[in-house]
Amino acid sequence: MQRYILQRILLSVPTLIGITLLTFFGLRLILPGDVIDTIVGEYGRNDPQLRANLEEELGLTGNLPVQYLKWMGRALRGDLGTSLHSGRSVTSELKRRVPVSFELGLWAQATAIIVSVPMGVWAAVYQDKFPDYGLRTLAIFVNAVPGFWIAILVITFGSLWFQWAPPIQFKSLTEDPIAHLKIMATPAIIIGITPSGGLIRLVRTQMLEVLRQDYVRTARAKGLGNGTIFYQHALRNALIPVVTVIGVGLPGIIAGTVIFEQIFVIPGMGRYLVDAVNIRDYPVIQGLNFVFALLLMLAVIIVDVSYSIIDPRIRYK
Amino acid sequence: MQGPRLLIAPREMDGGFDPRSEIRGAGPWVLSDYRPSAGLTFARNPNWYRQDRPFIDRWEMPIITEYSQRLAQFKAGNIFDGSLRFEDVLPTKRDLPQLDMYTSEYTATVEPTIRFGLGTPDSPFWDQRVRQAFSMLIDRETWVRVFGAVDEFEAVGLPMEIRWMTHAGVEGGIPPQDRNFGPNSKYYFLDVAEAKKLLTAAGYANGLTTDALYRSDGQAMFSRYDALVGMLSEGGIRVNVKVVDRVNEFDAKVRQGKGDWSGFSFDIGAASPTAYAFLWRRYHSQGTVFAGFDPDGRNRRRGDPKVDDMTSKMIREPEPQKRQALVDEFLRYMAGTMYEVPAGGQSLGFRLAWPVVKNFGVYRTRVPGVENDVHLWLDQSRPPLGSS
Repeated sequence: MQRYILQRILLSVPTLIGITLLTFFGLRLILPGDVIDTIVGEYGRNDPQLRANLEEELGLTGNLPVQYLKWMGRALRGDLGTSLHSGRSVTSELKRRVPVSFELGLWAQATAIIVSVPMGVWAAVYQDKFPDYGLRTLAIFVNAVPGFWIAILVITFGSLWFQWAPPIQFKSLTEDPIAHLKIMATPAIIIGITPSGGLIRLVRTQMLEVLRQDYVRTARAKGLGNGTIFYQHALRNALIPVVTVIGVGLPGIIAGTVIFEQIFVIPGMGRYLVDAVNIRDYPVIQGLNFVFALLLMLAVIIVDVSYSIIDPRIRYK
Repeated sequence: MQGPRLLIAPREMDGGFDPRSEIRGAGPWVLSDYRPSAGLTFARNPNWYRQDRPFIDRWEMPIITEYSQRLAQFKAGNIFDGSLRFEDVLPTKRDLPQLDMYTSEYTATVEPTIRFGLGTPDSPFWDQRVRQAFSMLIDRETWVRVFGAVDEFEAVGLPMEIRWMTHAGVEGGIPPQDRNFGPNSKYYFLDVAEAKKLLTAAGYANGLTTDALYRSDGQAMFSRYDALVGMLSEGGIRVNVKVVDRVNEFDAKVRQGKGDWSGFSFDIGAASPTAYAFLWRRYHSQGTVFAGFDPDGRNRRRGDPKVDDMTSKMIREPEPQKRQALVDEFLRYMAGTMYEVPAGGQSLGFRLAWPVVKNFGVYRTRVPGVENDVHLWLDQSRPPLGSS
């Protein structure tokens, strides 16, 4: 197993390098616009000396491969550079923001699991009956409705009907745990609702497949109760593809928090990325892409490893 | 020499510290905490020379980009000034009668001024008649009444003042409705029939099709632009809307006039009170945001010598009344040429604030920042902090 994990980690390295290359050159060659134009604005646009000075100061002179190698060398030492606009260290900003987005994503994913697994099982158990129809309709509705729209409705009608608004003064978990959880609760629930639609249907489908297996019929013949059959035998096998979707979906949820971070005033990675893209802050965009890619690869490795835990028949060589 | 765009800065700023990440200055408050993307906190400066004022001890300024969130926070009493849209002022006041209502100010920098793309020889906007027709298709009165919620305010007995945008903003010069404006004022008034005659005379009897560039960061204004585009269609001007990146396409093409583009776009209007300085920057052929036009239709970078002369005289004139007369003369001339079309207007509407904030909106200067806020103080017995 350790050999397998090491192999996967080593195989991830060329992929990560490829992603950094694509990001670095894509930003400078494909993305329209120039960070110097953004910084100097309309007043300095016609001043070539100002442009030259800024390029020198911001390390944007020299050929691109050399710039890339310098950036990569620093990144491998944990230094992702400094923001071209604020001058702040990208690494220190990410240290602040990554845990926030990661935590929000985890809470959202937990919400999705808590909501969708029991509902999926319930829908499978009552297949083609009213609960099944109702839950499938709910799942489609939840899938179809954008989460940010639900967020705006919650905020709008919360203030209209209850004079309530979600807290916006962000406090970290260590600073004030209760206030922190209050801030995270509303966005986490709303973010978790959207993927739960697909998960309900997936759990239902997998459960139906597993419930038709011979060993389940044997378990019933042996006189085991429904609870034991559904949750101890069937669900465990039904969860294998579900775990894949949950695991691979987590980085997507974290990346998708950008809109919710804007709406709920949460200083996470997503908001940082949006601001950086708008102002062409290359080091920030590169650093964030690198972190996102790293997270995704880790998530995939963890999902693969978890298969062997969930299903003892699966062993890696 | 101190002014809104010319700041007195400490000597150390020249290489002594990084102003992007460190704040040094002088004022009633100091930045005590900055949480990027989340908010700022200012603490009272105990060494500020005005010791006789009850300055607020701490300002919390959350960065709320989502309007519905800002409205909700304002209604919940978590922020004291919501900067509400006009259409939300009356409903919010009805929901929360304890809120205080104040007259707002004209803020011309958010009103659209139409700029024409003259980068191609066949652009229809080389022809002055087309530009004049363009302007005469815009129903400015209706536009202001709708987006300023004028009818709603007047229905409850609140007096409303309406001003149309001119090349010098909404307050920078003589309004077109003034009888002293002169014959060129007609180009500001809606007249679809006359506009069609002008288009026909210019060779566009069947109307014309053109592009409209919307700034990518101006989504809040898109509904207003769409309204203008709808008005143009009544005169036969058919529009293809294109959303372009603000910094690298819009600024380069529209504001700097460097692109070979045809069509029109919406730019912001003039900023008062230094309207004359703005007019030089924008309409003088050497101005930093000169977009390009000329009276003969040959070379858009040449500019109009008469405009150059007028704007140069304006900025050299020290006497305010004489300078204003020059601005008014300029406006009359520009109304005829319509090198750019000021499209919108504003109503002097109302804004809301929680009663806890005192001196709100009382002291108003045109200088942004602390000059307006330094006179504020908090009466903690009033809502939402208190109940009296």
